[in-house]
Amino acid sequence: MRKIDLFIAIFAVLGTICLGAISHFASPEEAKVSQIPLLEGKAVEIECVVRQMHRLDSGGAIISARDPKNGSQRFSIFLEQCSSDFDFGDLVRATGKVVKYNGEFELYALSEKSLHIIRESASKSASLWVWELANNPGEYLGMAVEVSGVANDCGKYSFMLESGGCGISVKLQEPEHMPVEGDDISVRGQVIFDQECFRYYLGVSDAVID
Amino acid sequence: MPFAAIGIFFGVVAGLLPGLHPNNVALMLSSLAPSIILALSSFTGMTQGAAAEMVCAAIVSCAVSNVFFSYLPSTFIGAPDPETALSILPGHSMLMKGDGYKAVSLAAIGCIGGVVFAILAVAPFRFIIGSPINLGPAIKSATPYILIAISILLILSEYGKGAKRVAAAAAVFALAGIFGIFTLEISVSSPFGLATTPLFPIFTGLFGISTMLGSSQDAKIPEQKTDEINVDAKIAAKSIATGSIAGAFVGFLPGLGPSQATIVANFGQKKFNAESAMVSLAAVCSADSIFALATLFMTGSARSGAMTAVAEIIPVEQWDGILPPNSMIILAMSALLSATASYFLVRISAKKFAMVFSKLPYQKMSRCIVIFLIALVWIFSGWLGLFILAVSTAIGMIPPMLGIKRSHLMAVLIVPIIIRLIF
Repeated sequence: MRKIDLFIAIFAVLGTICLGAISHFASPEEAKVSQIPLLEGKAVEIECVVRQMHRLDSGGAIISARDPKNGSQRFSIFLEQCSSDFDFGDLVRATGKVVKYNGEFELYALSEKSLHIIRESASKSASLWVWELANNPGEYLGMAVEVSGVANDCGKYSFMLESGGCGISVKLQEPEHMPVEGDDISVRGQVIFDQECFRYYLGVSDAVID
Repeated sequence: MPFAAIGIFFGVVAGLLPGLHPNNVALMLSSLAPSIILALSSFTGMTQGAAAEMVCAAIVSCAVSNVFFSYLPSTFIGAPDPETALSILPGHSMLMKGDGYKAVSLAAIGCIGGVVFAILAVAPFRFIIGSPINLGPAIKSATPYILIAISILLILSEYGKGAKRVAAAAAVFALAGIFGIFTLEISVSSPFGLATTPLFPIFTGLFGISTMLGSSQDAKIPEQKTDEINVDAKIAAKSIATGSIAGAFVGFLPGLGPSQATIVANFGQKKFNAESAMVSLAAVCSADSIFALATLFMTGSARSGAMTAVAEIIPVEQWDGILPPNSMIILAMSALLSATASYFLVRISAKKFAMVFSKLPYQKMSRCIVIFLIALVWIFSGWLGLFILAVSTAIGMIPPMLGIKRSHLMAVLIVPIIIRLIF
């Protein structure tokens, strides 16, 4: 091998190692949802669970996400361009810049390439708190949701699912699975509006007792 | 038809200019789409839906014609897209034999053959991937293992030259793979704010500049023949078929690009030379554009920038039944029209290129091209892009030193995809 060939081979290897170092140090900082307010202006990478996706006329999207371990810690991801769909419950790794918009911190990214799905949601339903559903049921009309709470006022076909002082009416399609008063349960169903009674309820086929 | 012509024009520009990708054009058309649609419906009385379909027809035409014209710079200048990178190797060898025009003509045959084959195969493809056969999920989950098998076969293909060559191929494959893992995650930025990725400096170095620097100092481009070419129809048909089938996988599977599919297409052929390589590689790229269109209507997933733009402009009706939706038929016809026009236009252009090219002094021209490519890399990717170019050029020069194929350098894309899909 000529000297020049050896030099080229060594440069190739050393150059690759340098690029590895650049890639490592230039990569965004890993952060948790709770740390977002402290990282304004920085490029970060956050693992989070998708709650909702709202498409914009401009071709972008706003994704509401939460911490995988703490559902009350939430933030928004603004995507400049987005043609993919992200489903409720998808565990994603979001990379972007922390910016402040209208007083709220959010993650800004150019496109859906900044969101990498780690694990798709098996249930394809939104995981919510009872108070979220009870306070604003119209926002979730028609959606598949998953809610946990305590069963109260159990009737033949329906019961109240309560938690934290709030409650939502649940109608079971299979009354054989009706829980007993005081059971801690999780239900998965669709938010429906009863035109006759003028109220919202959760139509479910099954309830799982915790 | 006028919109297909506009698309062809943009495709020609994007194809001839290395660094300018049809995705950039698609993005531009997509952002201008609302204004264009409004203007069209106001001045021509067309419905907004029909106007939107016309804009999408332009985007699809652009994507198809770009494939044809990208073989001109890759053959005559050695400036690659990631999609055409592997074609530089047979293209350059044919150029050095005076067959530059033949190389581009063969690529044009592969492109138009790929489009026609894909349009005919799209219906069986839909029934295999979707209902009733539903092989789509199984194929998707097998992708990383298919790529691992292809990689092993690629390395072992050096066995005929001795065990040392196999070891050398494995080492180069590993180096290129590690280089790809590190570099694809780096974000490069243009000093002029142009949209960019690290792929341009990577492929320009691995396959473009390294090829030109590796050419003999005494090399001279021979007189380029511009006679009409003779093509063995059987070999061409086989190359088109293997390339198009490989292109179907690219159009459907996430993370796979035409470069990896060309390696699959290579293995599909027993008698494989530079000529059948050009046809096959071109068929991969052109068939990919049609299968990406079919995938959009089958699964709703956009697998290319052009399809992302189409999905943003028109509502994508799911293809559930036997016949495809009307909008897909219109776009496929636009692609066929673009392919037909581009076939003749690119061959005329290649003849003109060939007549001028051999009169130019090769060494001086080679240096000018290298400087031009370095400048382009800086314009699109900045100083970090230049460093990536330097390293990728050095890596690209290693295979000829060791007497092994340059196609092992495709590990730069294959290894990161395998890791991403498995982990």
